[in-house]
Amino acid sequence: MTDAFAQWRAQVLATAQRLDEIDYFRLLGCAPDAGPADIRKAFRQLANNYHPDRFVGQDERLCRALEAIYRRITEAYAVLRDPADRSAYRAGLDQGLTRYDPDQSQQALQQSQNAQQPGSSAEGRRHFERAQSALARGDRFGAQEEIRMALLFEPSEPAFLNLAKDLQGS
Amino acid sequence: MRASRPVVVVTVWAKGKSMASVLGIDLGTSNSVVAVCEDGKVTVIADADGHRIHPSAVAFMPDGSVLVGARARAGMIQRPNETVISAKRLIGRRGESDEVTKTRSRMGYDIVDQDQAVAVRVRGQLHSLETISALILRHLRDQAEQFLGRSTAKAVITVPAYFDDNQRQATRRAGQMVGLEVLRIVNEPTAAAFSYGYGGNRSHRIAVFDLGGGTFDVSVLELGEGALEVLATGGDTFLGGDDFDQIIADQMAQAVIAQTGRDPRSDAAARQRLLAEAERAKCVLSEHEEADLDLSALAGVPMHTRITRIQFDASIEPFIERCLGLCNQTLNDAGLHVSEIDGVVMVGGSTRIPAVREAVTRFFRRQPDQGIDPDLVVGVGAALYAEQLAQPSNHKRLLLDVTPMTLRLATVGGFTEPIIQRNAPIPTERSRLFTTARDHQEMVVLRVYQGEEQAEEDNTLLGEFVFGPLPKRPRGDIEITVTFAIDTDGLVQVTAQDRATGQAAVGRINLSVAGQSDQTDPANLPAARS
Repeated sequence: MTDAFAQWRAQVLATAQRLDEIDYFRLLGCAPDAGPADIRKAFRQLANNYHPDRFVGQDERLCRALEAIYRRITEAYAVLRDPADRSAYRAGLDQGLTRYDPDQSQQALQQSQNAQQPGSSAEGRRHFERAQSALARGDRFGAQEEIRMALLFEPSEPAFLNLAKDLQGS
Repeated sequence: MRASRPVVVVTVWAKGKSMASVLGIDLGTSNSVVAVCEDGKVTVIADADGHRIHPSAVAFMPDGSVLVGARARAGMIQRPNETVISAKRLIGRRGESDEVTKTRSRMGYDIVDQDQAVAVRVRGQLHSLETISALILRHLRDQAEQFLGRSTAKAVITVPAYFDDNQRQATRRAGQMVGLEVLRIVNEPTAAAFSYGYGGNRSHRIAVFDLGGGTFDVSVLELGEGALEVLATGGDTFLGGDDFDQIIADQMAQAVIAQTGRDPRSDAAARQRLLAEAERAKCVLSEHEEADLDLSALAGVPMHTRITRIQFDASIEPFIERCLGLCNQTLNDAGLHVSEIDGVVMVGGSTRIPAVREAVTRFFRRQPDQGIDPDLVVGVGAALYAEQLAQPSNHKRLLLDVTPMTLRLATVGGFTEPIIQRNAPIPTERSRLFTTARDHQEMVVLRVYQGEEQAEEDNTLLGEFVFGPLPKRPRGDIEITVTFAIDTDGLVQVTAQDRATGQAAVGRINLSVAGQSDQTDPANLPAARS
């Protein structure tokens, strides 16, 4: 065994041990805003380096480690190349989930979307959203009605008050 | 792109070299091919009579011996009830499936429902479909050993890309039954692509159109940078040349009924005669505008009729449309427009049919590539990949394949949810966390399916996994991490771990179709007659 190979082998074994700590972006070596072409390129590069078929006949421990790493690489690639799964994954990652989980990641996405929307009640947010879309299509009267409704649920929400003031002011 | 040239030349290799070679086996519905690759040269192995294409037929003789290959096929009409053909259409399937019903109506041998999978009954004896495939594999290995002059124990076996886990498991077990170490199950279109010498520095995207005796696959691949990457695959494991034969046979039967008032399909021997005559006519129609049909033996009086290519083309059009629909879907899945495809590879005997070639040319807006014989190309690719697996130091091109179907988990109310999407690269895995829903819940039961439908019953059941007994705890107290993995063979594995203890959950039960149908002890396979 050459030194370089021994070193590489030790590195592979260590990586396989702490796979759950490595998020998909780090695993693929991509920035969180990397485009589809970069994600694909990274996957192909890693496939060349880690695909288990390239190491048939090596010691069993190494083969098992490579298999585990490669399975995680394909998992990362499949999730990150899908725009919907990817945004759910990113939301989950913000909460510390390094792996995509359909339930937990989707839940995290929902939470983060809610967090970005002003308002603390579902009704208040719904009316606020309607007020915004009414305004977007030029329906000022409709927008005023909706923001009035929103304020019934949450009278002191600053974003609602601001929009109401804007609508009155113009 | 230039017409591609095969990287391999199919040659006859000098005998007597003593190195362990891995066989590449294309286990087909109608015909099989066995090839071996040594020093980059592929030899497609012929039987004693010089045929490189071995019929996938098994005949059970009155003295208890079996005939396999060309000799079994030759006796088809004499022994319609004792000769098993097209076993691949049945392997890994359940009795209630439409495919089994259709096959039953066409075949002379008895198809029997078992608990989990169908089996065949010949001369009063039950044989699993794995046994039939095992007998074919043993025959192919025997041919290879006679040719090589030494024994072989390892093989790469190809399956349709659209084969599900049950069908793959069954194929793998067939190899094991005859002592073959199956190094890899490779998808047929991927193996075909592997035998073509595309590449260089520029990457190419190709489509492989694989229409064989019983199955249709289409795969879109990107070739380049030392790897073949499957972008998407689609298919139908019950669409092929057998269906075209049946159409001609039915037309012939109608003609006989009109003449004699008797349906020749009511007799098993006559049915095989019909199919044989239909197949012959089909092949004639690939070369000529019309084919004569001699129905005298069927009608009992001198009777001749003819079928024109125009008639034949019209009757197989629905099948061709189905193939093109799947091509369209697979291109969509790959995120490609037809204009982004640089080459089309034709695989399988049914691609010799002019109407098929024309339809493919029209759809892909280019002439399919001519290179390697469509009957041999899968076996050649399997042998090339086998050599690479046997000598990893000599690794040239990686195969990056995908799973053809979505892996699904049953939820409540008869529905399923996707776990691993179709066309996900393999090997891969996903984990899900499950908690107990009731106090003192004793087990967690997972039903795993493959398919594209939401409703449980519209997908193929792979198995029911039972994890338990669990320790008695309040609900929600026990968390189990379940890992769904698909390996390089496309085989599904489900394992579970107690999240708190990290211990593997015990009592795993796998009710996969594949696990249950074995009735034949490998040691008790009938003797082959040479």
